[in-house]
Amino acid sequence: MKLNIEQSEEYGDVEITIRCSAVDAPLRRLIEQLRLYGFAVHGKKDGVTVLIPPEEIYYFESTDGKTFVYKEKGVYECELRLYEIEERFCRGSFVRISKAAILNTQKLKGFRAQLNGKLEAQLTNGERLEVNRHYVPELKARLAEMGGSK
Amino acid sequence: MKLLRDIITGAFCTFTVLSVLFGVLCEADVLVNLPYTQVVFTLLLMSAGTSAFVALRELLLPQAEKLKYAIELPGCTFIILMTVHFAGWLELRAAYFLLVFAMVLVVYLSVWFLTWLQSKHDEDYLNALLSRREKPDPDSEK
Repeated sequence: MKLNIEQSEEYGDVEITIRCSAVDAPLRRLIEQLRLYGFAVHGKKDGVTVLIPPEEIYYFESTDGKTFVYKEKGVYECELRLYEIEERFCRGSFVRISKAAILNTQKLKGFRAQLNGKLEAQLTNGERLEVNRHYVPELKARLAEMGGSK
Repeated sequence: MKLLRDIITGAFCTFTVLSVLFGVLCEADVLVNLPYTQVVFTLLLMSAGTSAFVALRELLLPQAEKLKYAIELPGCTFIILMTVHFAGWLELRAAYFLLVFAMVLVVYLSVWFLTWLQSKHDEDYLNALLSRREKPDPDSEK
């Protein structure tokens, strides 16, 4: 695969063109990632609404009927429900890890098995999240897809 | 829903284990003179007691995942032994009490060990996938 990047002050919006003979699975995943680039989540904190790009999001969590967006430092309330986030983001690098959490796999540092049989996901910002066993097969499949494109 | 599933699974597992125990004791001519219906009723009573205990723990201490085995194992064993004792139908001696306890212990530890083994395997597999994952090289884009 060849990657050409042209940078000039003449250009306005970022434009990405893909030339290929066929769209295969790894390429489809890349396209989905690129599409995510354009999405941003509205997050509210202290009465102020900000736009949060997906690449800055570590995970989404639903607590007491409210959805929260977790960045490296800071938590924002989000108007979207978890299932809406799942529909919108889970084709990219986001994956559901429990009934109440959706994780950005780009922010994953590693996994650790716990004594109670559950898995713990360690994030790059030092946070730890519990992965429900029910969602482990999905997580494996998604990471395998991402790793398989190498 | 999860609670209901836990109760049914708990009841089924307990009944299965106790049925095996019953079979072993019958084979050893220990229970040969006991009426079959009374034995089955006692086994059902034990299952119900165990399930009730599991349900109670789930209701009272829903977040106590780490204490799960520590609480349930002695709790369930205690209920089983008390049911046997108060039912008075199975004239179990201390050795059989120990046998019941040992069986419950084995079942719980086996379940725990298998679950832990599976999560350990998942941990290795997922970490391997993570390390294999393609990471963007910032130098190549410059």
